[in-house]
Amino acid sequence: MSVRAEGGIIHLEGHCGVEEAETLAVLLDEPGAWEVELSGGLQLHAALIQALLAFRPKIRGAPPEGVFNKDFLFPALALALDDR
Amino acid sequence: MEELLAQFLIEGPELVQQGSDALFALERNPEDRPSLDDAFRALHTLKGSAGLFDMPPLENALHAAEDVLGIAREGRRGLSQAMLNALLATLTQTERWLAALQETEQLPADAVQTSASLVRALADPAGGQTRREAGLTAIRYRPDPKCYFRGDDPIQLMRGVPKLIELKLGLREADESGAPYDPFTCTLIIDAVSAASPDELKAAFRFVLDQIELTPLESGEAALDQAEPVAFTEQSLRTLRVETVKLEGLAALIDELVAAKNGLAGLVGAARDGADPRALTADLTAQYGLLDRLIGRVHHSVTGLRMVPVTPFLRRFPRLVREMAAPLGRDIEVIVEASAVEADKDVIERLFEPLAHLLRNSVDHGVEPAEERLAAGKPARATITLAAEAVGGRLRLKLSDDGRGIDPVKIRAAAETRGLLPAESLRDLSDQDAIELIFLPGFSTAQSVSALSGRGVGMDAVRAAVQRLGGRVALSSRPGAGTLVEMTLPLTVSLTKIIVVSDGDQQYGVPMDRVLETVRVGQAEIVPIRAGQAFNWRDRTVPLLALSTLTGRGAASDGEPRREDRRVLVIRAQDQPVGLAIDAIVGRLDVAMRPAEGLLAAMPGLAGTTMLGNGRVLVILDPEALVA
Repeated sequence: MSVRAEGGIIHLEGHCGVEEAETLAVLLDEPGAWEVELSGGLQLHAALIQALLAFRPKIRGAPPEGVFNKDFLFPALALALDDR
Repeated sequence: MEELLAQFLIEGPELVQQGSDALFALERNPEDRPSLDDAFRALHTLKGSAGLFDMPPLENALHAAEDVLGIAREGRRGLSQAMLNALLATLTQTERWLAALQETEQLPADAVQTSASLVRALADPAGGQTRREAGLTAIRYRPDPKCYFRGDDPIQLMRGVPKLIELKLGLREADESGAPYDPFTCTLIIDAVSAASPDELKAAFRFVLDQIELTPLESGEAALDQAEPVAFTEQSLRTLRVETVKLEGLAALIDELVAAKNGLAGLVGAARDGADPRALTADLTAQYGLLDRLIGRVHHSVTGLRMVPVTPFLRRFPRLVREMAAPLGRDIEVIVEASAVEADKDVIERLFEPLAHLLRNSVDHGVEPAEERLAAGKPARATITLAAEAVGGRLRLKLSDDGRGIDPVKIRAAAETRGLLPAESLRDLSDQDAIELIFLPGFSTAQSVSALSGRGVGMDAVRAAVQRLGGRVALSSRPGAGTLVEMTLPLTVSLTKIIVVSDGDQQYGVPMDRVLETVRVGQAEIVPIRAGQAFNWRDRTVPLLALSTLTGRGAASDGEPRREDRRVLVIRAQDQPVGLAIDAIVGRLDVAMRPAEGLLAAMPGLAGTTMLGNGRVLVILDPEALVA
């Protein structure tokens, strides 16, 4: 399980492949304010990133390892979600 | 324009040129003290002159540049490559501003910001330098909506982009249909900036090249606008510096002309007093001969005034190339070989654009990235050489680079793809003929030429421009070793403005100065007069002749009434206006007219011929002789 919902928080963990995008989208589409915990997400497929951008949940969690994740992907994500 | 400003606009571009010549000399030899002094003097004088006008942006930038050179002169700090580039950028910007002043007498609206970034770059050139040397490229990646089904992961792809500097994520506009969210249709838009070369980036995106756009970013903070280098050139030749000795020669000739005129006055008096007609005729003939010679010499010296040295013109290009090369991260030295050749200023002015084009081709496609050069055993820094010489009364300009050359195999392939020639004809072409295919119009329309490392960008335009001047272009190349472009041009050219008209399936040129007016005449306004026709023009009855009749190409259509209006050129023949009916006016051109030669010379009504950009010969008519 790399997309796991627990107590209003969606945890993205490990390698999340394209097939997880549907799970994530269905969860995010449910009424109620979800928060998404990213600290465990080592590698997120574009389709998941896209779902986050589309449903604009709150994101939290320290960026995991890796220059790309830390310096580019999460700042870009945070900026895009912060936008409006 | 205020006289002081006018003076500054003449002197300014010269100082800019002196300054940049000195900086390039310093770049080659950092110990070159006289060049350092020259550069300082040029900047100092420029700054001083700028201070006379209320233009803080110009003055601030020049002041900062002068300070840098002042410190270097005192030996407190050397000039790094970055600093030299910042100084050169300041000079280039100064030249642009001078051109703007010439046009509008004020600096452009963004001058304050531009000046501020120049000052910053001069204070901290390394800051701008890392970016300048690297050359940044903006990437816009719009993944195909179906890409997830193909197993693409655009984010994973971005992870592999070399030298990433910035990443931005967004979504395409959501559709308004209210359809439920489809997690497997990709709507991501990814914008990024990378310091990697376009080639490296293309390698990273090799499977999705159709989904990305790469745009080289303006390098450094100076935000040098490289869009139209042409604009600032034409201005500097608008004024012409003339050696005093040439002017003195001309003044002496005028004195002789005055004396010859006085001689005529004596003869007029003699005629009035009833002098012997035979003696008078002899004197008049002698006086006419004298005047004829003098006027010939005046004509010759005035033509001479238009001759300007070619080398200073060529010296403008090193800076231009530096600017073109920076965003691509190419390191290129331009060597201008000094020569004393002079050519007509018209020829020189019109060479700027084709030369800039050729240089851009060299920078974009000819010169390889440093790593590739090193791998091929060449120095990392590429060399482009510009040389001018006079050969047999013609100007020969050579532009050579030590880049990768043109690969006839790739050219053949590209020509085949574009359907320019059938495959078997292409196979029969020699390698030399194959590389000359890039001069064909249509060869370089597609962008893919650059992807091929072809060199065809606008080469047909280059050839057309040179041919309009009555010149030729030749191209030679050795794959891997470089390319040489040779242009041979007349040293002087008298350009004639012509109107191109069509009549039937033929086109002709008519010199503009023979045409009084072009008018449209309705059929009802044309009245038959005896055997011919006439129409009313400015309250005069003017005979109307059909061009097709005059050129002897049959008068088939003349007898039949035409419904539509006729296009008519009103020309002057024996001091009388005459209407010349044609089918249409195609355009106006400045052309180098060649006198009719051989069989053509015997034809009446022919003023000469000219070569059009597409290689066709256009016959230029002498309407007056045609009508007579």
